[in-house]
Amino acid sequence: MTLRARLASWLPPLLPLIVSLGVAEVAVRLAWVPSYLVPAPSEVMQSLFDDRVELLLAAWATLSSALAGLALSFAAGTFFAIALSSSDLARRAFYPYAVFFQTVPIISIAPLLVIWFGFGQPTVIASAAIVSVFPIIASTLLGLKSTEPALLDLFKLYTASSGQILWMLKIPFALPQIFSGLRIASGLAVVGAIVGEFIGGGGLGSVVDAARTQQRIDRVFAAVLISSLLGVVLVGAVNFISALSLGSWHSSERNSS
Amino acid sequence: MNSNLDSDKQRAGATIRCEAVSRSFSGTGLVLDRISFQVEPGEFVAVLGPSGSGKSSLLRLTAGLDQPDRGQLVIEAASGAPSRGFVFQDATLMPWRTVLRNTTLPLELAGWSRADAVGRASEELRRVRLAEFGARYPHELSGGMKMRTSVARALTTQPNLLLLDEPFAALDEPTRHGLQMQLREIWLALGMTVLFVTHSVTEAVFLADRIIVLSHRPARLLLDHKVSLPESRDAELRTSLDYVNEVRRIAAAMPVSGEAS
Repeated sequence: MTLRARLASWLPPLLPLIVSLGVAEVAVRLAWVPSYLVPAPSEVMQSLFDDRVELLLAAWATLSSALAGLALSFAAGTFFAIALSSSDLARRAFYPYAVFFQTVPIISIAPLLVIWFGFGQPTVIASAAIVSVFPIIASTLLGLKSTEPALLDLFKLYTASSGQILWMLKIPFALPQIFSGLRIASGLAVVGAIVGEFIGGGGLGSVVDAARTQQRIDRVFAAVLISSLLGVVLVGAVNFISALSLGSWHSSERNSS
Repeated sequence: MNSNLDSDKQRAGATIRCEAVSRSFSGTGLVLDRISFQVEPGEFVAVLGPSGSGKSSLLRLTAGLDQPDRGQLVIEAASGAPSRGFVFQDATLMPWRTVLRNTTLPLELAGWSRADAVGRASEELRRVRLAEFGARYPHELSGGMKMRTSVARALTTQPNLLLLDEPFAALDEPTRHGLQMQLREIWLALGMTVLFVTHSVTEAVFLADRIIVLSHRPARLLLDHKVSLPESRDAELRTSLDYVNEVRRIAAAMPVSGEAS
């Protein structure tokens, strides 16, 4: 890629960021905006540097909880979707509850999680898993139900078992949708972990909560910035695995590579 | 065509006995109306009819993918249980599998070891002249190559009944003509029974030794015709008087579009 092509690719997203950071810096320094509401970007950078050890440890705690929650929701969500896809009756009986479950705000059930799992990581992991499970169920179910009928006929013609149909046809066919669900879920798992940490303690959620009570708006922004980066890292990791798995055959990954 | 493969005319054909078979579907109503015919072992029979006449439904019944409402459809093979190969209208390849692994699929489903399945599938890929393309993915193939992969896959189980559902309909004319000749050569080499569904009169006459013409829906048997053309057929045959006369004869028996039958 030539320098000009690189600039053309990076400049459009970078320009608004640079301009808005510049405007924020000037606005705070000239006291157009009180610094207890919005910190100057330079103050946030200073906080990122000064509190780097504490922020990194907190980020690691949040990331490990989000990953554990995501693994849990992936396992449970995939199992649930396979069970629902195998029977129309099961789908009609249970899918409405999965939809209902998704609409319950996590912040309202987080105190319940503390009662059930106590303070600490189990509550945070449960929160991350609950928030991220629905996209996995919905996408996997959609993928499993959209298998090409002619391919199903082909498997029936060769008297394939239901296990062979699932592992050799339905799951590979559903992989693009499964990754699509996982992509959404990975961002949500970070959100769920931070909400869980507000109540259950630990990680970036606690850093944000403590900084808020200390009126350290720069630290709040620093922690928020890192938590956003965690989401980006997780989504990027899913994109990478998706490209490895689908790159050789699926149009979505072929076109993007 | 590979001469080693030509010599293995090992596949005794199956017999098809279709006795007063009727099938209806909710929404479309009666599709097949008391269809009766018999196909002898090793015959190449084309089922011809207008679009939507129920040809594909008849083929699905023959494949065992569906059951008749009335009548019976029996497939018998002298060698024991009949085995079927099916080539669909689309190539129906799995995009995540290479050409070779698409071809091994029926054998994997039957519990063959990977090595044996690869050996058998490679043989059929050679037969359809795709031996060098085993490592390619379906998206890297032309329409004709995809269809040849589909034919190779259907041949891996050494079927004594090969069912084809308008497999060449979506291909351009030169590719279609090439594949027709290749299919005819495969049939001459292997000797299985073939039931080939098409709506093209010229295709049916070129390929088959016998043509069954169905009416508009609900399909009834309009004509059961033996084609009088030489066994070996090449591109020149398409311009011969015998061929043109056969085409005329069948075309005259075909129901006119929009005509209620």
